[in-house]
Amino acid sequence: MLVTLVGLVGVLIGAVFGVRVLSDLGFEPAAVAATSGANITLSAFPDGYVCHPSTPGGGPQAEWVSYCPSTSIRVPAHSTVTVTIMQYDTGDTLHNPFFAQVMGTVGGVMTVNGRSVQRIPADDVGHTFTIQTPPDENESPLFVSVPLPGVADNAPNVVTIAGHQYPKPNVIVFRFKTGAPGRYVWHCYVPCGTGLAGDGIGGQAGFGGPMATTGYMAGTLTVT
Amino acid sequence: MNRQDRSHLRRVLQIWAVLSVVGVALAIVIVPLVSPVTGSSVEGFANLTDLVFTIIAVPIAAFVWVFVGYSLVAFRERGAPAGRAEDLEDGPPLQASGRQQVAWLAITGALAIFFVGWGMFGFYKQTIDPPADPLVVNVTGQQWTWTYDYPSLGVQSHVLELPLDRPVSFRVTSDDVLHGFVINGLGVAMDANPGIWVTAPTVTPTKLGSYSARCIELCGLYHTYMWTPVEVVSPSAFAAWAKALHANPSAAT
Repeated sequence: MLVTLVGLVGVLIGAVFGVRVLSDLGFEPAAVAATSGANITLSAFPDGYVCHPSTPGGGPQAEWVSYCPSTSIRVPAHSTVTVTIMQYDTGDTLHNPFFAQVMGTVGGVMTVNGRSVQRIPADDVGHTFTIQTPPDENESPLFVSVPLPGVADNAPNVVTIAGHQYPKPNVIVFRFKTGAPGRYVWHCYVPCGTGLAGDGIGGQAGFGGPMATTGYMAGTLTVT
Repeated sequence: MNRQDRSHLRRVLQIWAVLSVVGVALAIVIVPLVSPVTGSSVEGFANLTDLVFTIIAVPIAAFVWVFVGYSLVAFRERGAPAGRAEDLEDGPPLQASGRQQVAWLAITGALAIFFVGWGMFGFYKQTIDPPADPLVVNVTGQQWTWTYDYPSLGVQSHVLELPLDRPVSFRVTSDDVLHGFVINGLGVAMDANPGIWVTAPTVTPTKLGSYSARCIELCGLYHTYMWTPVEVVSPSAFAAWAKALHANPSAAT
């Protein structure tokens, strides 16, 4: 009887712990939907203070790099979507220089502070905004990847947002075309997160934390 | 072994024989139906391996299941046990004969040697006569996609484009964690290890069509989305694709 009781308690604790772990896989604020004309504006911050202020008892990580105001994005089908990203974070060297190239946008270009570019130096990429197609969305494949050049390491903080100071951002604008309704994922391909267990394998780290949690450097794009 | 035991054994062997024949027949019919399309010089051997190994596995699995199932039914305790459960005694211990032990070792040993030999034969077939000038494709896995670099062509792509009937040599690595690079239908399955380039024997696509490259090593949040399209096209179409991509790298989608 005692063994059965202990077993049941163990199962209950395991279930609660499992639900807790699953809930920690993502902290996506409410979806940001395209405005009229299919415009989306996002910001890439070096922290999570704006969209993920600390809460008592843990949960969202205010120190993690993050996209704002949400990583859950809705855009209209069969449209040309214009995305503006305010990049407040500094840059680093890409592990895979492939992602220094602008891909999948209208004209294969983006503008950085008004200047049209197809590629940026691979050693100064703060984040990427990369949309890709899940295996079950083959009817309207979508692959868009845009590198976000970092602001200078010594850039002064001149912008105040939600009580926090940031440097003047790089403003990146690009357009892409949507097809039929579907659900896609997007994320950053710069290892800008925290370390993983087993750091040092191949000398690579930075793919944990915000890189492995929706709501920070990963999210969903829903075409409706 | 008394007369009753021999009767049980005969019945078990009869059931096993019937199930084995039925199972092997089903395997011969079903395995080819669920096998991937044979789209390369390698995939045919891989599919044949699936079929042969399944045919061998069926009688072995049936042997175990029939003995266990028959024992559960034929030798179960009938009726309510007398006395307390703690007082129940186990049956008489079984002592295998020397001949049975030798037979068991011989059969399992022969099977193991056959499987090793089969794998070595397949590897030998793929490596005995490597093509002189394969198309080299460097494959990089990164949470959560594959990217492809064609060093001889000077292009990179998110889609794996391959020419028909030209040998391809994949060099695979990872930028972060362990991944597994697999192309269904082309017989390609390689580990992607961070900091290491892994090269497999060359593969020659033999069938035009669309395939998919996937990750088969659980690698993180978007592991299930870690796939890319694979297109096997004619040599002229491949040349045109590479030329266009070289002229406009932004089209690498």
